[in-house]
Amino acid sequence: MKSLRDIFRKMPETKSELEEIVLGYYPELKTKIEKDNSLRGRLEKITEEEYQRYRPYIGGTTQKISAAGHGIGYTADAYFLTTGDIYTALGGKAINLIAQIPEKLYKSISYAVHTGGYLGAIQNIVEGIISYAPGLTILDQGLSRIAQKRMLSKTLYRVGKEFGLEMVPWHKRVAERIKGYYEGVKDRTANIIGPSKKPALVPV
Amino acid sequence: MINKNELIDAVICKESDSVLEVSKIMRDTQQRHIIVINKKQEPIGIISTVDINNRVVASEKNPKETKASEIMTSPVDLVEVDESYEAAYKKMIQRGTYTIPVTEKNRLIGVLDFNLVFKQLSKNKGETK
Repeated sequence: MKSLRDIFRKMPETKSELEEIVLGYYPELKTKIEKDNSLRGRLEKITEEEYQRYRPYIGGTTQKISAAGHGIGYTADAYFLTTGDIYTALGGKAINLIAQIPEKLYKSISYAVHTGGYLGAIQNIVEGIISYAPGLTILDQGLSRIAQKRMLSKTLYRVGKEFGLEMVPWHKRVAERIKGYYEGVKDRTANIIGPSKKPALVPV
Repeated sequence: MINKNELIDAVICKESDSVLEVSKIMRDTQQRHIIVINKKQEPIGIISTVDINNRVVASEKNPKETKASEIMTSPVDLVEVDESYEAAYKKMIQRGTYTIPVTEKNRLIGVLDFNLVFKQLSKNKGETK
């Protein structure tokens, strides 16, 4: 787990996790692969390429230093929220800010140059600055998570393009399929409750 | 604890929906069961295609005028998201069902199916070896 946010929405940390999530988003691809195993090679090629591109920015020493800083940041937040002592809290947050320097000022730039994720790098730096305010450590998601989201987003996009797949929820596919058989078939999205299958930043 | 992200979608209707509307939702989503929720999104019952046949059609009731709450099976067996996969498994075995609705603070958040429970239990067993 690279981020507290993983508790709510898990992001892939390994190539096999990335592949598993991609197949979760495209259940029809899973069925196709079960019928024709040669398609797996094409999927693995894409996931491998994307995974290798983002791997240096997921985890590592800078992420560990950043996570330790966040730990201090959360403690300072809790201290501020319970005691109201802003000066001591800002002292704790300053240690957090220093711990973010390797990730924000070195790895972010490297990430932007090597992956083209300039917006992600800027977002990472801005989040780091904003999260200095007491109580706002939670706003800094860290470079690892930004890289994971982009990796997932890019992989889904490439896999969709390669296999000609569209991300359509199952209930919409069902409605589309039975429209020819029955009259008055409607989109029943309003009658569905479940975890969101759509990841952040998926290119449309 | 149950992983929220792995739940499958639940198809729902309101307790005030007519049976006609319920049967159309089930047709459009190709489901054989539908969960009835109240205004607080709490699951209060379940309706199957057999219930519609036996409690409406065979009982000569008007599906336009009969409400979902009148024909649903209630109460419905549930599992809270902070419960274990073992607890969900036991409830499913006791009731002989393949799916069980999952709630978080009493609000419906999805459905857990037997495949997923079995997969998680096998994984946990593997980890403890």
